[in-house]
Amino acid sequence: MHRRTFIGGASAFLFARQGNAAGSNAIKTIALNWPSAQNLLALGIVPLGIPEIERYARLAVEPQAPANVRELGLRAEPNLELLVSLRPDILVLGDDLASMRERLGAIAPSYLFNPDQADHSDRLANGRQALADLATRLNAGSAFQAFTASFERELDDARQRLQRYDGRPLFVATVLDDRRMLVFGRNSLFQSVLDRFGIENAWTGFTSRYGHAAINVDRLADRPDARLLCVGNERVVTMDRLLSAPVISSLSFVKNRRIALIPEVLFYGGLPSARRFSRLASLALGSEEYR
Amino acid sequence: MTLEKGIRHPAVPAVLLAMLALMLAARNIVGLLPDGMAFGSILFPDHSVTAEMLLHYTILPRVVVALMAGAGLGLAGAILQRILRNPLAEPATLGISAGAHLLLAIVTLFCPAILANGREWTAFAGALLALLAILALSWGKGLSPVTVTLSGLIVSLYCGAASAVLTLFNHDFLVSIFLWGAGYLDQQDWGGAGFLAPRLVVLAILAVLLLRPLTLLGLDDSSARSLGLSLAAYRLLALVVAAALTATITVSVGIISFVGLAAPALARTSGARRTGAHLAWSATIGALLLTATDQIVLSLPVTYRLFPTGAVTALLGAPLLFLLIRRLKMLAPPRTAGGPVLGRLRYPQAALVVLAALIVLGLWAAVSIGNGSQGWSFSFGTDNLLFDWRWPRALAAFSGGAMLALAGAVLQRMTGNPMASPEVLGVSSGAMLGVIVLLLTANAPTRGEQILAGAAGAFAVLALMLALSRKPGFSGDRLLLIGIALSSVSGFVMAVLMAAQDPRLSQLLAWLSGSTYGVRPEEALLATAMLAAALACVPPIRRWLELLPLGHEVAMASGVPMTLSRNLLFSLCALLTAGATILVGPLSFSGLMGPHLARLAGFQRAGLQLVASALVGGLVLLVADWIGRNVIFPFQIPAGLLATVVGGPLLLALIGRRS
Repeated sequence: MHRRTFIGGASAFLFARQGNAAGSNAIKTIALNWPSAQNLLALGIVPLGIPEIERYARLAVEPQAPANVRELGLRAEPNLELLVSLRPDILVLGDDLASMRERLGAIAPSYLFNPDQADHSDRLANGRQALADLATRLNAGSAFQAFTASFERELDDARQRLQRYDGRPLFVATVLDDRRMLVFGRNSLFQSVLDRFGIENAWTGFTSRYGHAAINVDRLADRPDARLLCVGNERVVTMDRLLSAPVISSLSFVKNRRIALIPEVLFYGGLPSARRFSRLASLALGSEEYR
Repeated sequence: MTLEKGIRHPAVPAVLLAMLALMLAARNIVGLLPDGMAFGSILFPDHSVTAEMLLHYTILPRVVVALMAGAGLGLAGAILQRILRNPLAEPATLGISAGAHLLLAIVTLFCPAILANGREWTAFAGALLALLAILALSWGKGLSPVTVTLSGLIVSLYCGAASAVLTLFNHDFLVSIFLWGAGYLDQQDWGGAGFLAPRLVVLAILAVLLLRPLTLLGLDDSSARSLGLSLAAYRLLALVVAAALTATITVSVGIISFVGLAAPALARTSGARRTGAHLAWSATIGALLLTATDQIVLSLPVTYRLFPTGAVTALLGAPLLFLLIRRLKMLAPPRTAGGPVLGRLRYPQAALVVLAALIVLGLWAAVSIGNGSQGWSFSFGTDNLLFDWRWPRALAAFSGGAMLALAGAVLQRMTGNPMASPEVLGVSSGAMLGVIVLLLTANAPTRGEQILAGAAGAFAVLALMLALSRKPGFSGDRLLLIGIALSSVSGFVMAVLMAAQDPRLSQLLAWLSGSTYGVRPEEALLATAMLAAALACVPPIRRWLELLPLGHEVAMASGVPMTLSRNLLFSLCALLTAGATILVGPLSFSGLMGPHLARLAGFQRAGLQLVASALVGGLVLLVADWIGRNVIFPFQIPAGLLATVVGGPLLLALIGRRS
């Protein structure tokens, strides 16, 4: 109930801004990667274009991009000729296109938006700071206030749902193939959300600068008391095969099906991704069976 | 030197490898064995004790699979090197693995339902299709070694490029294919071992039955024929056995590089000369080499255990090959099919002028005509808003393609190896490694820094190769072997990156696939200047390249300074390759396509062929870049990939018709 009200409110808010964006003095933005797109949309600013929109809708999912946003081509190589012809006021891009900044400068001023700092500080704080800076640059201070307020509200709701969680440590992972998973640990966006919930991460091993590591599924045997939260439901068949391997199926948490599955969430991208994760994870883990 | 003298019998490396493998395996197993656990419980584990389950279902099958896969690869490599008479031949040369990889990627994307139960069969079908393509291409020439090698290389490149296109556009959904292809040996049950064992036994028996014909196939064609051997039939049989071995192993553990190349080489240099002995020792050494490597991977700290063994073999094998290169007796290398079959152009100069005119027309079209947000548009001249964005790309594509084609033509002439393409020089691998290292260490590298890093990598490799070429025994083909060793190192880094699922991967993929996207105007001009300088070098080197393909003795007798000419030619190729790679990525195919198309068109004499190769290679890339920018607007297909995917079949058809 709460969730639906929120989405309704958010989209009303979004459409209001979109009308505004069509007006003559609104800043015309273009998002050159998905985190930029997500965070712009979170501020209610509809970019003129987003790369790989279809896949964005499938993998990042929210905030939804309206149908009139232009497809820019591949994330790695957004179409420069198209960018020129769209005449944007500002290009919002991430680290991945940093080497192109100089050339992009000939089209419009570029803004480097990076919610995923590589240091080991809190990812949510980083994401919030990056979003605040973006909002300042685009004169969207009130939209930022509104978004963070709704973000905190959703996080509170999620914590509420998890109040009676049984306290087991949690593996958060995405299935890669029938022997391997991408597990999220220290320094990951998901970890920052789990910290807010007070849930212990079962993976304490090595992680990359994005906070993830590819591991063999048998490493789950290190914590047989844990629970597994699988992010991404595109590979359910593979997950079943992965969990049916002899070593894994002999573990108590697989035998007792302490496994939850949630739809795709981007594991980077700052507050919008964190919001989606906190909602989906709390709904899956807060259900009756895990209490 | 003492090491080399010590290896008199293939048993020496085999025993050394076996000791290493045993030691490491024992250490790894004992490390996992909990105190007081009975050793027998490895075979009959208690399902409630996780350590016993891990040993029985992950460590033990892993050793068995490594032994079997290594033996199979060694055997396949030995067979291929015999029938193709080429020490560079290895299972990957045939394109079998690449075919399997491509079909798996297609099925994963377009009908994933098949994969749940039919992964093995999908990969087999892909391997079979690749083999059929090679056979169809080389059938007309009685499956002659040169034709098979060349067809295999082209099929391999083609499948690789097609997979790369799919990867570039869908890498989010192809993770499992990456991981499979990287060559992991980890197991979660005995399924992999059960799959390999019966198939390998049957194929090994077939190989034994083929021993005598294989001995004769290693001779040159006329002696083999005079001994009453139906060449084509036996070559086909041997080829099918080798392909089936490769396919079986690729299906179950992915692409393992190097073992199929290094094991037979090691066996031969340490004294296994007769066919039977060579096959047997190749298989043995292959098995032990892979197992030892795999145990090394397992002994690494936990973080690094996820390195794919298939790629680590390359890392460890490269120095080994370095040591052995000088002792490696080159079998009669395949010569460029030339001479009477191909017609000569009557007015080659006029043909060159026509080519040049086509290029001018192409450049003009590439900057004037384009697809856009309002559909197709035509605008002439510099008043076009998009002119500034189009000309650097068009010029860079042309120059990059032409530089690589020129390098390819020089390399093929001086080594007499039609497979020689600039990519195998190792210089582009060096550039790749430089860029990769920068991308992983710096936070947000600029384009200028990227170029510097690429140049540093390329020149480090160039310096190494020049230093080595001073030593006796490093000539032509052998330097190519070093290049192959280096390119496997960069392949390793890519595999690790893919396995680690780094979000920065997509940028790298785009650059590696030969994209002109990021080229700045000054870079395009620099590339053109480099090309012009290289073309100016053609007249002085023309005579060398005319004489070098005729063989060492002829060239020496005609007064070609061997060492000097080799060093100069290699440096020229390396500079061209480095320049092209750094600016527009490793567009390997134009290095093959340019020279071969020029030759097929009838440009026979060295000087003319070099210029024509450059022009053809440049034109191909120019057209590919234009099509790639427009055909699926706003998405763009990198020029190098498009040239391969579209140009590959064309080249195949031409080669097929002419031969």
